[in-house]
Amino acid sequence: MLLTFRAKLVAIVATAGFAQLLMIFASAVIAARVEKQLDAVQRHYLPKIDLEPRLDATFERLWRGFEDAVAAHDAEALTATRLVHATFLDQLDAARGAIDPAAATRLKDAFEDYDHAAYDVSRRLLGDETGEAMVGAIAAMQAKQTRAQEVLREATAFDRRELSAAFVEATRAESSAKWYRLSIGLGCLIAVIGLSAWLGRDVLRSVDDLAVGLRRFGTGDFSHPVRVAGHDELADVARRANQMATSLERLGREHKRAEEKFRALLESAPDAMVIAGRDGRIALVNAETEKLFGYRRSDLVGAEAEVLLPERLRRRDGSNGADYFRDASAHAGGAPVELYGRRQNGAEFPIEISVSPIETDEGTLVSSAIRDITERKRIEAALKLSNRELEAFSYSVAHDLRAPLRAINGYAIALTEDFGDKLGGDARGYLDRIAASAERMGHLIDALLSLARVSRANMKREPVDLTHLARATIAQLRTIEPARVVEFIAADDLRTNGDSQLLRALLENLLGNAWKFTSKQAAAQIVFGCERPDSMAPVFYVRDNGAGFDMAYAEKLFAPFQRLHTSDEFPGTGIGLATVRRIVERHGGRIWAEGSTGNGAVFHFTFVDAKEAE
Amino acid sequence: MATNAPILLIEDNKDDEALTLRALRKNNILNDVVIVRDGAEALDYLFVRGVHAGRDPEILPQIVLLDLNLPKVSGLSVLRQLRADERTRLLPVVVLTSSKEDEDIIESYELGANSYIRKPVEFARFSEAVKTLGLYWLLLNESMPRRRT
Repeated sequence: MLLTFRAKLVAIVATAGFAQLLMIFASAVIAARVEKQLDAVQRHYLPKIDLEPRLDATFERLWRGFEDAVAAHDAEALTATRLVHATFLDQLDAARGAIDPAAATRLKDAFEDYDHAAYDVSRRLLGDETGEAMVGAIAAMQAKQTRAQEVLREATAFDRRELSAAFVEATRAESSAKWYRLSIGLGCLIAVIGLSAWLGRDVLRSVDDLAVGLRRFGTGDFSHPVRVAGHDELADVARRANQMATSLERLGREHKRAEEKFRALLESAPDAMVIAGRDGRIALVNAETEKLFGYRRSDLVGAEAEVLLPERLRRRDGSNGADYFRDASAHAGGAPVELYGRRQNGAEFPIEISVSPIETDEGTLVSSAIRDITERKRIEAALKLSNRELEAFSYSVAHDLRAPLRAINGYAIALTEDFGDKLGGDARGYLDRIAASAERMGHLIDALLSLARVSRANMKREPVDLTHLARATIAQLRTIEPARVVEFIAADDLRTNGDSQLLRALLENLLGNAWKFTSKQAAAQIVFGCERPDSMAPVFYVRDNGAGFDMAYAEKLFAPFQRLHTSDEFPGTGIGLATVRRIVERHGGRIWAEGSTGNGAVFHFTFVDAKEAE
Repeated sequence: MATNAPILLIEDNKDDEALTLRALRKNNILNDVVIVRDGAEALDYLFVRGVHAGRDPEILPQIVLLDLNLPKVSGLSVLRQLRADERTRLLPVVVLTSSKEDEDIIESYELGANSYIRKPVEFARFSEAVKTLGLYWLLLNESMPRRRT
């Protein structure tokens, strides 16, 4: 049935309406028929019921009027009979509908005939006329009176059977109308009910199909779509439901795939992954967890996550209050926390745990990545030890290695001083060399210690006036070598943020280098300045017009023990620029050099990463 | 005012000792020099106990030359105990060390060292420093250098 649900409803309503109209029309037709019957009875028979007595009474008043006038011998009374005569004619005329027209004409003729004769006889009697003729006239008149009375009776005869028949006819018509109405009404009712049932069966079946299908969908079974019958709205709903089911099924598949992927990811994670609910119970673990803690997966799922911790770290048993698995916020900013884990066999081992919340439909879960840091701890301990050893080594270098050097230097000088006159020139020269070598090794040790200190020292950032530091450094250099004539130009008010001790060492090294490498210049000049002083990443520089260097070795400059000059040309340890670079790097900056042999050198340096500053 | 007040040299390294004595002599500082080899002995001497229980308690050194890197009791510890004792509280102490560590210098001063001589490799510079500081503190103690035989 290719009808919409709406069309079906409209059809039912239309059918009911049409039946109603049909009933009304039929009723009207039947009513009209009954009315016509009753009307006929009223018009035809009712006037007849009292017509005869009325006309008969008037007729009697007429013939008595004639008799009275003759008996009283009154001409005027005779004239008065004319009024009665007129009344009779009026009455007859009024009853015309009730009397057969032919009978009426006959009655009128007989009446007029009698009246003429009676009036003529009465007038002649009043004139006292007698005789045979008179007797004859009176007899004729009486015959006419009798005849008129007969005709009157005939004309107004009232047929009771006819009236009964008419009423019977009317009653029958009304009765049959009732039956007609009833049957039409019943017919319409049956038609409407039948149509409704027929159309409704479709609708009900569709609704049933839909209910069954949707119930199945509700249980997650999308294998059977809802049966779609017809093209009505319910069919449309069913189709939509099927589309929805398809989408849901696809979503379900995607969800399942995502979950499988998640599980695969979880399994392949290098850390032990423990996912716990808000109640602190484990929902999910991966293979690494089994391996790390020695539990079977089935032992862990549903258990308190805290079984993975030593008892002293558990919230229930301990007083430290930290609930590592339940409260992701317990870990500042999700940063890893170092703890101890407990294997099934009770063994403790150091772990690092990173906790992050996972928002899911079932509420917030807490995912913990747990890593065995036994090895790292061991390395850290070893590193700490070796750092301590390095510390001790530095101290030893500073103190114990220098002591013999001091002795070598001191005794060489003592020899020269005390026994110089007994030694030859060569011997004194050798002693000088011994003293100088010890001295040089002392400088090397100092430089190495300084480099080590620069790497180790704790940085303390504060505003530092670089111009002031540079000027103080140059002033110090001038006191050491007052004979040198060096022009020093420093830009005013160069400042940065950094560790003042390290920055002092930086400038001492750079300016010291410039001082040293300009020693063979007649007009030595050293400039300390800054490019882009107002930018986020100002570039400072120290420029000199000294010996310079070959750009081919620009990178080598900053490596420890790399020297581009011999000690005879310019003394040095080869550690100064390595120290400088280390200081700049510790401030997050960069240093680079430009120069050419004989034309001086420029050292540029920043304290802020230019890329970060942008 | 103590007479014959010696210089107390607390030094475990024999070479450093010899060079220090030479530096003093070269600078004409001719006071007696009492030499102790470790921190514990230094405290014994200063507080007249142990191996030094028999010495004249009236004699206080005119100046203490203190190496920081000592066996048994460290130089800084000696300095702390020396400053804590009423008898030696005001004794001039010059710290001698090859250490260039800022922490050592700062701690020495915090513990009440009067001066600090870094022992450089170059004897000439050490000698110069001994001369400057030694003379200063010896003169400040208003004591004439005297040589005891």
